[in-house]
This record gives sequence, structure tokens and C-alpha cells, in this order.
Amino acid sequence: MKKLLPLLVITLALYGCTDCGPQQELTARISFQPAKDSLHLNQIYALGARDQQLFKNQTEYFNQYHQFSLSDFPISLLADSTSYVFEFDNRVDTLTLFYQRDFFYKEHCGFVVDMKKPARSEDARSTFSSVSVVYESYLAEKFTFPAKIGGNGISVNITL
Amino acid sequence: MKAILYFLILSLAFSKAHAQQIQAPFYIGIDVVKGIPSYVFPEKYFIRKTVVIEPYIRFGTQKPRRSILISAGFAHGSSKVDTSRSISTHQFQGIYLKMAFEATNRQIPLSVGVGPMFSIAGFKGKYQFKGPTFGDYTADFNEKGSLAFGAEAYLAYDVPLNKKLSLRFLIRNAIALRSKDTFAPDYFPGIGYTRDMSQLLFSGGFSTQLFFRCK
Repeated sequence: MKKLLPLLVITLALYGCTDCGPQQELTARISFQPAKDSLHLNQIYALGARDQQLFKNQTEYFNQYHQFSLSDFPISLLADSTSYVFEFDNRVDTLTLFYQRDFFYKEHCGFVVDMKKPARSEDARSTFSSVSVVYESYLAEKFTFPAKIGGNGISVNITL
Repeated sequence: MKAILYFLILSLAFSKAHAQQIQAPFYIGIDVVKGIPSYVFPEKYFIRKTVVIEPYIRFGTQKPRRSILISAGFAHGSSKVDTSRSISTHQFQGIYLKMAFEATNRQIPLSVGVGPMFSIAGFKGKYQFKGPTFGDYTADFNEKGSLAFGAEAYLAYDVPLNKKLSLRFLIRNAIALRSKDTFAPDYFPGIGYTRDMSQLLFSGGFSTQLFFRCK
């Protein structure tokens, strides 16, 4: 029994290291580079969204700090793309983000959701001058206390 | 399916061979406990509305105080909804076969048994991810023909009720290997509580069986 004890501790430790990801609606991180101070955003909305509250919050945050808050943009789990409309004072821009949804069963987690780079060649379609997308898994690869590696999900970098 | 057939044929051949040779006691029995907690404590127990039908035959062999037990079981029910695993509904169904070689103590009616077991089960249900902004994503999962091979051991205490009927209280433990590990159910028919066990299943429990002596 004494010999089994370290094994049990290791098992428990490993169990704690499993990262299950968000297991809910995922979000993409959008950053503007560089954002002009004078730019005023009237509203942002997402096509097909039932609740625009998070986008209203992002609009307010943007007008105050000239960047989006880290509390991210929800992306739809119901389709392989999500479209956002950015209404500025003197221009309207659209951004359609493409991805590939990945639902699977993971040990100790149950069902998990992740996003992958889309099978098609383009990552995004937009009226912004340049958009680059980085796809990273939403599930951290290694979850060694106290830091985790990976698991950042989709990041979008927009140049106006 | 082939494996079940072989197992059945072997078991039957074995039991026939013994039954013909000697006039040993012969019992039929049924489990009277499994499944009941799932109706009595549906909120607390890990399975709910689960029907477990597990009949037995038990007969003596040529050797004194040695017997053979053969059982076939059927389980159908649902597991507790587990939102922490994104699972919104989860049903299971399975059949299993067990055989045990049993030895009984000379003084007290205490028996130990050990033998092979085989279970084939299916699991289905729905999983859901909450989507406050764009709407919830719901999908089905359906795993059919999940096989488990293993062994079961038990310690049983028999309490005679009258000349023919007896109650058997037992603690059992099963260990089994699964064919695939795409989905780890909370309950595997014939084995028991198997949460988080993907390939090696190890479970046990307490049960009570009612036996009727035929001869």
C-alpha cells in the first residue's frame, strides 16, 4: 500500500493538469494596430447574434481606450464563420472570420470544443486594409502549475 | 458477438457435463438490489431510472463445497446529467455474461467466487455548449458496441430464509479492459461505477441476491 501511495499522488497531480478549455462559446481576441486616437466607433454588431451586449461593451471600451478590451469577441459555435460589422464615424468595416469547429471527447473533461485553421485558404475576409489571424488551440497543451502553455485560441490583428 | 457465442457454448457445455454426472444442489437466483437506488435516490445516485435484470444459475460440482455460477445481465437506464462535462443527456444499455467458480467455507456459509466476465454496451445522449451570444450548440453522441472483457471476484454470505429460499449478501469487484476509449461512461453495464476510466475499468459494489433451490 505504501508503494502505491506515490503513484496515487502522481495520478491526482496529472488529473489536475488536464486542460479542458472553455467548454462553452469561444471568443477571439481582436487587436487594432495602430488605432488612431480620433477614431470614434458608433457600434459593433455580429451577424446572427442573439445578444449584442458584449459588442456594446466593446464599443464603449474602444471609444475610451482606443483598443478592444481583452474580454474578447464571441465566435459562433453554430457555423464555421462569424461576421462582425464595425461602424465608425466616417466608415463602416466588415470582418468575417473563418475557422473550423472541432468538438470531441476528452478524458477527464467530457466533451470539449476547439477551433482549428479553416480548410479553405483564406482565414478572414474584410474591408480593413490588412487582417492576420493566428490559430492556436483553446486547450492548453501543458498545464504545469502555475503557468500554462498554449490555449490562447484565435487572435486577430487588424490594420485599419 | 462471436465471443459471446463461444462463451455461452463453453459455459453450457461445462454446466451440462457437470449436471449430468452428479446430484448436486441446483439454484436459480436473481439480483434484488441493483438499480433500486437509481429510483429511490435519483438525485444523489450516479444513475437514474435504471433497470438491471441479472438472473443466475448456480450448481454444485463433484467436489464438495465447490460450485459454479453463471449469470446473464441486462441494464438499461440513464446517467446523472453532468453539465461540468457538457453532457445534457446520457443513456446506456448493455448485456453481460459472467461465470464464477465458487468455494464455500466448511463452517460458515461464506463463499468466495472468481471468474470471467464479458459485457457489451452502448451509450448515447446529447452534449451541449452554452452560447450566450450566438446560441447553444447541441449535438448527439452515440457509441455502439463498446466491449469489455475482464474478471469478477466476490465474497458472499448466504442467509437461508426457508427450505427453498435463501438470500445472498455479497461484495463484488470487477476489473475489465475496454475495446475503445472514445467515451468514458459513469456506469458500464455489468461492471458498475466507471467514471473517468477510459480503458481499464475497475469497479465494485455491494448487492443482494435471492436464490431458490430447485434440487
